[in-house]
Amino acid sequence: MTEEELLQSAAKLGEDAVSGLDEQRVARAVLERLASEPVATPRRVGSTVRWLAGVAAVAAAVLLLVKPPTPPPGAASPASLSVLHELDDLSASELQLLLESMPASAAAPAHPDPAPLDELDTKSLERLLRSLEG
Amino acid sequence: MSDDPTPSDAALVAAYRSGDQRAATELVCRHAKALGRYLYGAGAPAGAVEDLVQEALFRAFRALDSWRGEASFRSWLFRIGSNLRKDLYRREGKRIVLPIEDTDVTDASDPEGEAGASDMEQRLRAGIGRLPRLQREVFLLRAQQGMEYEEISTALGTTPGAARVHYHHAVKRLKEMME
Repeated sequence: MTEEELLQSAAKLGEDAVSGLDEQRVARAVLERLASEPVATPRRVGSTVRWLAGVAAVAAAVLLLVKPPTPPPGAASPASLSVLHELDDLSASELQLLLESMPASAAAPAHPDPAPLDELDTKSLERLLRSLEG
Repeated sequence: MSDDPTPSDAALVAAYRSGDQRAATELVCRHAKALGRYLYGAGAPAGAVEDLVQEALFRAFRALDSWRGEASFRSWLFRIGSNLRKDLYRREGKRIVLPIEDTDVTDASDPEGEAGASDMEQRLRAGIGRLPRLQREVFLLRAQQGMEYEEISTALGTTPGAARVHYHHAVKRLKEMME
């Protein structure tokens, strides 16, 4: 198949699938929804509960991240992934509030930065490598 | 709506924002089918296309403040539709495109959709569904809509050079799959 034939086929893709699509009906439905669902939807109990659940999940994750349960090398922490998923639902202002509510120690790395590698001598590098290997 | 026989999308958006609902209807009529074909090509089931189109248009009209005219209205709308389809895919946790081995299975409940499509179309659609997301979207925007790389890159949040590369990879892989 040549690129030209491929493009011709792709250009026609979906013609049948939209043949029954009635634009006027879609327009009416969209306009009705726009009229009945105002843009500035007030935040209700559900979103507050979701936000609080997000805060609780972040707090739990902070505890786990400060003292992680030694996951296998290269594996992502399920708790972190879960929290990242929870964070998807938060607005920028909620994220800001959450960040401000976290203790400074939680935002800091669990361990102080080690000395730069290029400042270590051979023996120190070997010790470091052995400690990383466990 | 103004008396201009073919007002631009920007003019229609402005008219809608000043309260003219006919302008919104005109925008829907201009873009709904193209959006539907794009979503179908990207893997949306034929039976879900109209609902996805309606939802994408609804979201677009609600978010008109965020359309600043850098991209065309159509490419901005397609981006909303693409994100919507991606969310649907993520929620369902599976590809919603038909696998190629299922292309012979007809669906009596959807006579104008998948079942009515030719074998070539089904194979192409399955192939497109196997492409990485950016390759798939770049290919469809170029092949179906004839968009330039500049506009594609604005719509997808990438660079024209990257869009070109994605397109060429997509064509190469699709040609291999269609052999």
